[in-house]
Amino acid sequence: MTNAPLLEMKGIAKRFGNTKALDGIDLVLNPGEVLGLVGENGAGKSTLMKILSGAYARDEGTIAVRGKVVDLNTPKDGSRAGIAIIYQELSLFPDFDAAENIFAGRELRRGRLSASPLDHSAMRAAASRILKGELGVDVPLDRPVRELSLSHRQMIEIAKAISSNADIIIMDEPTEALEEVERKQLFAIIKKLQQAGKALIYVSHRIQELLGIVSRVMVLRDGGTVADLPVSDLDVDKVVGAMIGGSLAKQFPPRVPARSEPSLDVRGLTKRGVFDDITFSVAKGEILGVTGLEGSGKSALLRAIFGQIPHDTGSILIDGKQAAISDPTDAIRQHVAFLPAERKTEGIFPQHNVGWNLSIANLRTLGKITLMPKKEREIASGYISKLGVKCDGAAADITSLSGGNQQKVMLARWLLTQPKVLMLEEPTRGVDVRAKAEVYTLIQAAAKDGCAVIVVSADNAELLGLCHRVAVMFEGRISAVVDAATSKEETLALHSVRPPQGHHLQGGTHG
Amino acid sequence: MADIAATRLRSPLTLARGGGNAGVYLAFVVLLVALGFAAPRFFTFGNLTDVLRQAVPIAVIAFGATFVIGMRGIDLSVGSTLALSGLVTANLIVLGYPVPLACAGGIAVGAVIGLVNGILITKVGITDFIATMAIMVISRGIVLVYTQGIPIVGASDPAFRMIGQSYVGGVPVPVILTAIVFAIAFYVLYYTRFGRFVLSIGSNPDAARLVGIPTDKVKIAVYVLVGVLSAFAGVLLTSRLEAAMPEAGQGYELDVIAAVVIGGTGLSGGRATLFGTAVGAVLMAVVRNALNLLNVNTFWHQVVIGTIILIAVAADRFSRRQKA
Ligand SMILES: Nc1ncnc2c1ncn2[C@@H]1O[C@H](COP(=O)(O)OP(=O)(O)OP(=O)(O)O)[C@@H](O)[C@H]1O
Ligand SMILES: [Mg+2]
Repeated sequence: MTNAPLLEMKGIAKRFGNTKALDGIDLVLNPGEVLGLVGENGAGKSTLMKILSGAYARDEGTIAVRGKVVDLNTPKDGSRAGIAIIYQELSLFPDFDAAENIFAGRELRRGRLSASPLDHSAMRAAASRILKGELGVDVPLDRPVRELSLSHRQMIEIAKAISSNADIIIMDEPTEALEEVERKQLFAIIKKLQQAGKALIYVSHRIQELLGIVSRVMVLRDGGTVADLPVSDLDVDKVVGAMIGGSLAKQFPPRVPARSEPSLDVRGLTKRGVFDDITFSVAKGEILGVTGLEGSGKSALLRAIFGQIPHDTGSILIDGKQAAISDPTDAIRQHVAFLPAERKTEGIFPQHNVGWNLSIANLRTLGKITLMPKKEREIASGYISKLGVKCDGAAADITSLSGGNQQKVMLARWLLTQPKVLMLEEPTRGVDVRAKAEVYTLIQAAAKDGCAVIVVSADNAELLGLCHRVAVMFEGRISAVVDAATSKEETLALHSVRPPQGHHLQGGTHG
Repeated sequence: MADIAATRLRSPLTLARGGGNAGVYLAFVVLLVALGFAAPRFFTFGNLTDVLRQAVPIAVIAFGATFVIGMRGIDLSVGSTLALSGLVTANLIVLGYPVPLACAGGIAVGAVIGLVNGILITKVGITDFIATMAIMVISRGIVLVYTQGIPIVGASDPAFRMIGQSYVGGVPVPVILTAIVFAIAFYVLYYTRFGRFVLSIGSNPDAARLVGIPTDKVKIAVYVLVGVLSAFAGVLLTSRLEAAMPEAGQGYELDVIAAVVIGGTGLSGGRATLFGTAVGAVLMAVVRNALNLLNVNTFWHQVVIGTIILIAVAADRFSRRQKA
């Protein structure tokens, strides 16, 4: 019995209605191991992890922890068995602050009784030690998390999992919203946990990155295991080959030259304390990348152009004409589209189906006055096949789709509005390698049709591969604009943390 | 009917319709059959039309409340709106104004109350519960101040009486009007952009704003809609009684919410079933009628209605959990 592995899952199966999500999965995990779990969107990774954490009930199979069979029927059972999980879709309480979230359900108290008063200062101190000390991020501790950025929220989720003293820690796509620096911090933590004898399961679509931190890789395809190999036997191509059952053509489509007419012109846009005197223009057919650290103002800039948040001074011109945009309704009327990074809180309508979610930003396509269900089905089916959305048709609940497939629906929503200006925040968040290439092709097709595209991404390789130019923001200003074809990832990273000398060259920025 | 329902269930719009509360439909049928045995008088034509007529005011308002609740809102002022609108209409009739003008006056009052509710909620930022509660108390107060607690009688213009008291083919006109309101509401909620906007706001208000829905305007419009429908119920009631009662519509806000919830529309927003609301409103009228026919003390009615609400909601929860 002493030789029993830390975790052993055998013959795990799970169905959702007509879809067989998992079909007889075996998984073994030993202390000190980091298992990478990969597979295409909808392969069953999150479902398997949710079964392990107790969030979903399995249909078949057994789970044993340290040789003892356990019944995981609720998340509480999972944490009692020493399993902690970071879900793909963040699950913090939006009105609680960081400390309250990290200790939710296992609050520190001033006494031993469960009715003793909460020890807020101890919780806050502990939260600060984990976040600042171990993870090295400066997360505001006294604000409700709904006001925090996506990457800060993600770091709080991570802090919550590693502070729980669990032996098995599951991370479902933890780096999708993280900056380079934050990702490095996370990997250091993973190494530390591994050395302390914990076991980790790490789910990600960033194969290269994943291969650098895991000791073993398990590949799922259509609910079954197609490979389970030590990392030393693998490289990116092998993993991708196993994932998709073939080989992948080029990731990025060749760049199409932009036209010369400017489409979007931003002049001296300022929101005090957030961004300052931003001037740039994007030509028809051009794809402009925007990068910068958390708090550099890139997300606020996009939201200001979209009218979601007000700006103080400056102007926005579309096709040379002054665009009066005071809210998103105006923006969409002017054919500006904006895909926000966080699909769960800012994107999906959870009670509704794929067709509804896809058409909601442009209902006029379904009929002038009366909305035609048939039209909706046609349009949705078109995008479902074009983007390879794995789902049970247009009438499937949006929440029944895997994370990456939900993301494809969000993207389709905005493409359907036939925008002149398309602003995308983390467009491939959670999207698998094959679909990423399809997304890039679609973005480029939109550009080719004359759309001006702005892409914000934490993935510098994506920015350099997809865009014509990349603007780097630093402390609310554009500190550099580089040509994507001739720049390196390190250059972008460097500019993000330390602006190059004489950075007011661009756009004549003078405070 | 069953065929139409079946094809609808397969259309992508089904989810929008909220599916309704199958448990309640079943309970409703069982109740009707049981009533047939316990009180044979229930199934006389006269009694059935009477039940429907009694369901009218709650049903008309509840159709509007289905929009509000689907939008994750609440409106407590409907009963007072009914009273104030009825009062204005009765007064105009008594003063000899033409019938269409008198009715329009009453309905305008409802629209204004709805507009005030909507503005308080969206522009001033008062939560819907508090704002509509305050408006409920204020409107009722105005009614009491004006009437001094005494009914306004003598609204017996023959043309006006027709609205609430005549029949077409044996069916009371108010019932026909209610059916028309239902059809329009059904179309608007499930087949127009406006209806989608309402349910999107209820489903995810932040995302609704980001897909360009003018959320404030839609919210105000929905409160105006409920105000208008409450006023319409007030006009129908005044026409039937040929008088405006100061306490008219008291407690309706809860009956209306009960009808919506029994029908299967959850308070969490995003989904709404108008068909369920219609069933809920009729079910409540049937229960009241049955208790009367069975000579149950009226004080028991509350207990029974409350129990039905609990059972309906519990059944709904249970069936949803089974599906998940
Ligand atoms: N609650 C649910 N109801 C119905 N089907 C579901 C549900 N959850 C998952 N599925 C289906 O199960 C399959 C596996 O989904 P899962 O979320 O595990 O994929 P994944 O590998 O995590 O994908 P991604 O990389 O996109 O996150 C998909 O076909 C999905 O549509
Ligand atoms: Mg997943």
